[in-house]
Amino acid sequence: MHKYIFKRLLALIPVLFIVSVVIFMLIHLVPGDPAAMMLGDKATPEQIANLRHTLGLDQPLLTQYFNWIADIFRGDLGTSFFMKGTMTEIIGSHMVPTVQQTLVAVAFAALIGVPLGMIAAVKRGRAADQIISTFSIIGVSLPSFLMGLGLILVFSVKLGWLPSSGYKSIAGFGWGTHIRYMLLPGIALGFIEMGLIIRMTRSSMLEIMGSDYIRMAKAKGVSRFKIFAKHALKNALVGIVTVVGLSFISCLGGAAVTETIFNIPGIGKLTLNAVMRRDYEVVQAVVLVVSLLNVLCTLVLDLLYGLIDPRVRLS
Amino acid sequence: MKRTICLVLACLMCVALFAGCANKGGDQTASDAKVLNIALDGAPNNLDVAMSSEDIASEVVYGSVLEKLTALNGENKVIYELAEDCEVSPDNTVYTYKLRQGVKFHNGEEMKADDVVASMNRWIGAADNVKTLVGDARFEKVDDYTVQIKMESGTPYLNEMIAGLGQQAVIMPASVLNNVVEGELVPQDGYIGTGPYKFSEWADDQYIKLEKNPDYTPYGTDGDYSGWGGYKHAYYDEVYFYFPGDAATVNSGVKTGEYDIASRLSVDNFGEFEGDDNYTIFGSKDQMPMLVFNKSQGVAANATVRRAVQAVINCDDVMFASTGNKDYYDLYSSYMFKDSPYWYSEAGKENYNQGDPERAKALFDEAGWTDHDVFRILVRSDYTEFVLMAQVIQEELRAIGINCEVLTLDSATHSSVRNEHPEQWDAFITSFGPKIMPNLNLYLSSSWAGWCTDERIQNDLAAIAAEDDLDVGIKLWNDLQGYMNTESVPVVTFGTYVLSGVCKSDIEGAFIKERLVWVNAHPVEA
Repeated sequence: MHKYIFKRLLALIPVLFIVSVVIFMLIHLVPGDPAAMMLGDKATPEQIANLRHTLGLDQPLLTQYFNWIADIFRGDLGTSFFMKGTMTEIIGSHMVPTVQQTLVAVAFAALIGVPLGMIAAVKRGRAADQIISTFSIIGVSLPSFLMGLGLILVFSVKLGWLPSSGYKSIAGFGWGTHIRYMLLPGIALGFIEMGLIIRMTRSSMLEIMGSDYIRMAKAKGVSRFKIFAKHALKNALVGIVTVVGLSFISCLGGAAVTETIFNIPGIGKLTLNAVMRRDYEVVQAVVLVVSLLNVLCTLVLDLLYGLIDPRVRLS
Repeated sequence: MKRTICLVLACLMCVALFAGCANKGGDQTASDAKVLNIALDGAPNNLDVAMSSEDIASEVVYGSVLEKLTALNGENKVIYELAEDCEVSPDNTVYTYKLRQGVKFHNGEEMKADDVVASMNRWIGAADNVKTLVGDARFEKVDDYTVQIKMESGTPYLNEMIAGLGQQAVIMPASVLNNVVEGELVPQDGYIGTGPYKFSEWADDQYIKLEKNPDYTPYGTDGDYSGWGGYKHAYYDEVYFYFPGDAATVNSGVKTGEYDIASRLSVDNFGEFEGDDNYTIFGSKDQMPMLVFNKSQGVAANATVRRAVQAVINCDDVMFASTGNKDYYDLYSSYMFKDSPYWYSEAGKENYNQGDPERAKALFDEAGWTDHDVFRILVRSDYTEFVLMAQVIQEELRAIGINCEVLTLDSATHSSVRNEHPEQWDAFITSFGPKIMPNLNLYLSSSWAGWCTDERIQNDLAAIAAEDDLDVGIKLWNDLQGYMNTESVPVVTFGTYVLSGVCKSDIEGAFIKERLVWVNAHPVEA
């Protein structure tokens, strides 16, 4: 087990090195630079060149890359040209709303998706199954921006129940206000994942329900509920957990759209803004951290399989 | 058991993520404070408006946090703001400013000559057209409440430059500016001025917060405020600026009451608020869109090609395509706005809005245009109206057999290509607000993109700047505009279109003057 984790963590080094080179080259080779953005549209080329020099952006790319890598080894992920604070603070403060939004999204997707998937499996071929399957297809097909705008129109503008945009922290405003602001973005973000979870749960359950040991349990006269809850669901969990875990990663990556629509200061919006104004070190640091998180998430998922299903042996 | 513990731990982690990692930037106070919430159409990159020409930055801090020696009122007349008086020598070479006494910065320091000298000289160093005007001259301290600048040649319009330039001549404490390396921007804790509001907090990607300055000393007469100057009140305890970005989010935020004021309402969205008593749309035809030619290289370096493009453009089509309503724009040929005192001119009017394909074709032939030549127009993708304008021009050129390409780029790439790769484009579309005098029109500068190096234009602009007889200056400008519209054609102006905002109907005092002016916004009953 420990050897396995160590090997997986060791594999991170080449991954992060390649990511650092690719993202550095990509963002620096794209036209545009932060100096021009800082001075505005009406700045002259001479003014821009002066600021580029002051910021050290006129140094050779290789020098800039090695300076950045050297800073990383010193524990400094870089400095934003536009935002105050260390990079760790910037990423940390933007990561929180994204993770919170993602948790709401995944919770919504799992809490709605798993029961609906189970009902669809139980009622296979009947009206309930048809309705739930159609609902899941809508969930998978509807883009999150459209879902977001629709939710704003109905629940904010028409009904006035929930705020249309913004972010309120728990520390500043308490749980109630925080959740009110997170509900619509969470639902918009989680809707697609809900569709996927419904489909995955249904197919996993159907597969399990057709297996020999379930038939045996039925023959022994075990109650329908017990078969379902104790024997079938437990064994279907591996597949469902995989989808929920992947949904978490997918929501983390896909939050940029909902963050833009709902004006949430998350990591997606941070990245988007950083790319748009060529805030090089922010883009580089975010991509590195997100790559690291992705690898760690999949590692945690692999470890979870072992806990849920003893048949899975990590070695 | 092991699995149960894991599950409990996982749940605890989720709760900790929610509760423990509370965002530092979100600690807005939910108190009884009077709060004004303003939605901007984008986030400023910084608020150092002496260095940055971003309108959106000026919308936040100019006039509210940071003030100048002089300001422009609603009639575009210069009034004194932090200066009490200004004495100008008969030959316009020496300006002596008496400063208002007892004016406090937000950090408690009193504004004195050292602060003004540091601020004004930094501004001169940053603003190219001011440098051109004043040469090597810089502000000097005479005594604690008097500053002076001595220039080699007469400069009758220095106060107009101070009051009206896009790069703002704002006064900040010397104690802040002395710690800023030349060419660098003032950090956030240095946004200290003398205005009725003080900078409080910038929560990245969320909001900028200003707070009422209780020690503000207004100037002028109560009730007399217009344009960018006059008697100011801080009606609100806190002012928040949000940057929702997406237009639909802004509109729904106004409707749900999250924003009291929204700037730069797109004409497409007028319909959502027009006729609704709960909202007031305010606006002014304060933007002059134009096609700026690349005079340094490429096909547009040839003045005949520029005249040909000018001949083919139907400005009515261009403006209608971008606004969709004839009420939202005016067509006129002047380089200066209609309400510009003294400088509005119709010289060269006959060459405006020609929409004459035959003449254009003949001019292209005269210029030696071949089938291999391409006319490339650069536009920013975030300005939909500019993209539409470019597409109309493209179609008008294609209709006479001229190959025209529209290069639509994001703002950063656009800026890079425009400034560093002039070989890749022949014209770009931009817009400007009203300027107090012709010299402030950046598109006539030899150092800004487009590179207007035409000798006559530069000589005449210098002569206008130095001319102390207004009538002679106006005559010079009239002749110059005629020359530009007829022969040189550095740009093709299309007219002016409306720049607007929307606010709740229980708020008044917000209006547009080149950009959103909100400093005296207040509840209707106040």
